[in-house]
Amino acid sequence: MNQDADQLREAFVAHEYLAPDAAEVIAVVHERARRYRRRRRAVQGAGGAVLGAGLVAGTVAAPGWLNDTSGRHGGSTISLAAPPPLSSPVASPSPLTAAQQEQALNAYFAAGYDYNNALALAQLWHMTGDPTTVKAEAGRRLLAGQKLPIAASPAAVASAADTADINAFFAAGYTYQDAVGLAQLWKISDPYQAKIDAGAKLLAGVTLPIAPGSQPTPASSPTPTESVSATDLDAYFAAGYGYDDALRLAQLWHLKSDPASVKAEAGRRLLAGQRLPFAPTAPTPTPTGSAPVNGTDAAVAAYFAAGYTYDDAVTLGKMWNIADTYQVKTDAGQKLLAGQTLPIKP
Amino acid sequence: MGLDVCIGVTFEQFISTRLPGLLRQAVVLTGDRELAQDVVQEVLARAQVKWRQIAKADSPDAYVRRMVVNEYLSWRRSWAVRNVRAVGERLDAIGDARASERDHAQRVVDSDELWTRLATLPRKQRAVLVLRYYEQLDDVAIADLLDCAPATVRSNASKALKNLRLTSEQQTRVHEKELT
Repeated sequence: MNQDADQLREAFVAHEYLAPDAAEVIAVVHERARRYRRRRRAVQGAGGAVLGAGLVAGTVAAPGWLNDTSGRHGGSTISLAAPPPLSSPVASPSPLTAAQQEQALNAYFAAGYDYNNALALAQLWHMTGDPTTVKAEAGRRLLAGQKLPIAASPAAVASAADTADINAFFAAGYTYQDAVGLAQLWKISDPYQAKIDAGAKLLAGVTLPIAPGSQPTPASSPTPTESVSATDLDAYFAAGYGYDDALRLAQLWHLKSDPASVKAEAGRRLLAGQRLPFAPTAPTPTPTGSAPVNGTDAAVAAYFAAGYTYDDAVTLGKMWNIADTYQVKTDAGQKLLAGQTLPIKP
Repeated sequence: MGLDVCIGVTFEQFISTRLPGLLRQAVVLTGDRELAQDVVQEVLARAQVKWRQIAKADSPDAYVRRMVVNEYLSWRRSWAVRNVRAVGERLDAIGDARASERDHAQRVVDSDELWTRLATLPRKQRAVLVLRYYEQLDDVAIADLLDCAPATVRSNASKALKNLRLTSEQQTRVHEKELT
């Protein structure tokens, strides 16, 4: 089991480098948040009329099980009269079939309700157990034309509206790369928004300027296993090179691929008798070793140089209530560099 | 920012210090750079809209990280379908995982193979492994986060580990067949 844990941890940590660029993310977050705020105001202004209309439409075609809380699912008569009190406890709702539950859950999410709303409803209705049951019960009530005792999250309402557009986009055979292509064409920074706009156009019967699947996958997409071989890596490490060297080589060679691929490329060159552009530096950065790239690296280096380990970072993270162990190492290292002591020994 | 737990900070202060960690968490969770970006963008956009409420939480950092996990678990099915196909294609590249002598170079290769196998797991099983072995949460904390019983967490972890081993054994059998 420990070996499993170590191997898994190693695999996860080794692929952290795949994390997207923070600057790109921030730009899109602000743009999307602005959109959500606009929609929130629109939803509040409309008083949920659109949603209400959709739900009433759903009720017209509703099967008998929607109004049934007593276990009789076969009926087809719809009775909207005298719904139970809105915040009344749910007296052991009868189980729905898989198809009914799917329909109820779709209604729940389409109305903009989310996971946190399900928790709140569970409390109001004194329901315990799987939140999915709560969502299904809420969805059943919505389809039956009833109102829920809490309002949906405005951001989730906006998200639910986007979902239909995005589903239309993918259902037409378009891919993420197509969204990237469309975003470039339409001068939008966010491919996600391109999916939504494209989906809305498709739903409106408009033809898109590119065919589905016409945008090629970039050659630099991360598929390390294709180019990395143990022999190449062996040669790289045997020559004394390390992780930091791979980062430096990637810069020198203008490679955007992952460090493992860079190491493999360097190893191949070494095996072919070529020399790399610089001599190996120490594999693990320490305050006295290779120069750290920035303050964060220096702090992490100080952390490890003081004898602390990954497990210590986990312990410190729990003490400091920080979930990100890398952040813990950085914070701890900064404390050490400032001459402070940590609450645990290495 | 330092060692606090982000209480009372602005959204901008929060993302300036916590975004890299969130992106690392998301990429480990999703196994896919684009999806990680989409998930974090979606979560942070929602978080920004209701930041006043989140900032009052005991730990906004933990709150947002929980949002990331939930967003990943509830991500639209269309992505899952596409991802399964992509993983199927990638499986062709997996080699023999029975390395008994694990030197550093071999560990890198093994780690890539394990990463590829992780992509074949159902989302909840993968999430449990990430929370247990990457985030170092105990089963009770994971159960709280995923809103299920600790026994369900243990069951998911057990199934996930079994699936990973089975995949490895299947690959080994395919490899041996190809050699004979």
